[in-house]
Order: sequence, then structure tokens, then C-alpha cells
Amino acid sequence: MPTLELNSLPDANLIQICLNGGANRSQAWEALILRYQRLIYSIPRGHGLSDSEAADVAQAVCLLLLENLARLRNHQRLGAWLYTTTRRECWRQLRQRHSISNELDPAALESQPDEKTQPEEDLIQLERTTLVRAALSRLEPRCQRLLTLLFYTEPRPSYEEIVKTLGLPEGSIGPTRARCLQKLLNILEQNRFFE
Amino acid sequence: MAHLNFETILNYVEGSLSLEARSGVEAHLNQPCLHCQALAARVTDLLHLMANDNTIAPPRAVVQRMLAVIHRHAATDRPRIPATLVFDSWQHDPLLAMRGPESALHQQLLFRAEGLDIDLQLTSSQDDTTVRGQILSAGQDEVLLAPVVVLHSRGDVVAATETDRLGQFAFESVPSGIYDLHIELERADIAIEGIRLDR
Repeated sequence: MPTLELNSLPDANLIQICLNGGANRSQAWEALILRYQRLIYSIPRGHGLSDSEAADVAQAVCLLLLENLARLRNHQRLGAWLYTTTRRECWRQLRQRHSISNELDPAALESQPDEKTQPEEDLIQLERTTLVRAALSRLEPRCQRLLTLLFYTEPRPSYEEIVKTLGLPEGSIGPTRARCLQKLLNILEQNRFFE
Repeated sequence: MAHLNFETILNYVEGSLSLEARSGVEAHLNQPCLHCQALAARVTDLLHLMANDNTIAPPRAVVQRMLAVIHRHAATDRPRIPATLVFDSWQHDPLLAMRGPESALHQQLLFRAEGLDIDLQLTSSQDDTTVRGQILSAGQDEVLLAPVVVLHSRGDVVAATETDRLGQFAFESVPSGIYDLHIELERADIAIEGIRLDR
């Protein structure tokens, strides 16, 4: 199965392929990592870790995922597992940075005060925005560029600037934007995003 | 019942319809049209998520490093082809291996595997080493399509990069140690193992 088709599978199906082996195992792993790359990288950056520390955390999380995926009971909760594991790795990295004693209870680290007070809501928001970005990356390049300019660029460029940047005919942005968003919505529905 | 088209629902959610058009949409939704209500709710949800997205895309090198972990551990079925050393500047001229005060130490190595030449230049200072390389089709100076190059130490991925359009790659400031360099091609890895950077 080509990687493109694997990308359209929900987490639970991808995990099955990762665990059961076969010719597509490597591609299924790759699809999972690419799907959650933003979540895995955004958490350490949000904890104030540097680029290289965040890269170390991301690598460690990938290794932990390899070791623990078979033990993940609820395959629908992969995002939550990655969120928790990545936060733990962030604390480990911060502990190394500040040379905190290795004998510190890991549970104490988990209860470290966080700037954010609603981790469950943070998790849901982060997981869902990550999955929208992953779905966006499956659109044709023209749609990706248009939706990125319209919805992810601050300050939002004017329609005239977008027409010039993308070389679109004048007056076509509205209908094109609707078609692209509808495609994005279809991909998300296919992945059971709204269930 | 005819449903509203997607663009109309999108414009309604974004608040860009005229008052009259907006009233028409609301009348349709309130019939009630459950299909259009559900679609409007999903569009609202999607736009909200896009507007509140604070995620950060990892740099390409980080993604490559993450994938290298996966490839190394999950893709055990990938064949690994050892590269053969065909030239070592230090064996050719041992005097080159001597370091003068404050001077950098250079070593050039040429490996071959799978019809590819892998040229490595190791430049060591007192503290670390820069590893530069170029991958070309053997004897044809033909550049290969951007394979991923991964530096390992004791089985762990230390760094990963992709070759540029000239087939070149580089790892800066590599600490002393013994390293393996893996070049990930489409269906196999080329392995250069036991590169000493502890001079």
C-alpha cells in the first residue's frame, strides 16, 4: 500500500499495521510519526527547551513509542499517550539542564507546576490542531498554500496579495477556498476526526 | 430537502453573508436541517482549530532524526550494505596524520558501495570534528536524489541530514568517539562503520 493511502488510515488501523509487520510496517510507522510530528515537537518548545533539546526529546519519544506501542491498550488514545510521554521527556530534559538530583521522584516531576492549568484541555486542543495540520499536508500543494495563507498566516494577507502570490485569477479565491476547505473536512471525516 | 452548498455554509460561519442571505441560511437550518446543522458545526470547529493553532513544525533535520529512529528500529527488514574503504589519505601519506600546534587535522576517506562513491573529509580541531561528505554515482559524477545520512554512536542516532543538490552533506562539531554513518537509500542502507573521530 503506498504511503499516501496509509496516511488516510485512522490511528487504530495504522497501529495494527505497525504491530503486525508485513511489507508496509515501516511506512505505517513513518505515517504515524509524520502525523504527530507537530505535537511531539511543540510540547518541548512550549516548555522553553531549545531547538536541540526539543530534537533530543522528539527522538526519545520516537524510541519510547517503538518500545511501548504494543502495550498501548486503547489505540484511539495514541495522541494522549504521546502528549503525556513527551511532557515527561521534557521534564527529564529540564532536570538534566538544571542538574536536579537523579533521585527525585518521577511522580514529583509529573506534579511540577505547569504554566497551563488545564492539561486535559491542552491535550485535546494540541492533538486536534496537530491532526488538522497533518490532514492539510495531504491536500494538493495549491490548496495547502491557499489555506495556509488564509488561516495560518499572521497578519492575514489581503486577497490581492494572495492572488499575486499564488497566481490565481481574480475573484477565484472565495470558491477555491471553499473547495479546499471541503477537501480538508473530507479527509478529517475519513479519519473519524469528528467522532 | 435541498441542502445548502458548502461555500454558503462557510460564508455563514465566517459571518460574511449579507443580512438577507444570513436570514435565509438560518431559516434553512432551523427547519430543522440536521445535515446542514452538522456541517456548519464542523466548519465552525475546524475554523476555530485553525485560528488557535499554536503548534510548531519541527525543522526538517529533526523530522529526519525522528524518522531515522523509526527506520533503524522498525525497518529491520531493510538490507544493510557495508561500504568498502578504497582510499585513506593517512595510509597514503602517514605524515598527514601529524598535527602541528593549533592546526586542524584533515583526513580524506573514500568508500564505495552499490555503485556509489562516498567521499568523507574529517577535519578535527582540539575539541571536535567536522564531517563533510559527498555521495556520487561511482565514476559518473552523477548526484543521487537526496538520500538521508544518519550518524550513529553506540547504536543511537546522533544526527541526521539530507544531501544537497550536489550530493553533499555535513555534520558540524561532532564530539570525539567512534561513529557509524548510514546512508538511507530507497530500499537499503549503506553502512560505513567504525569511523574514529578521537584523534
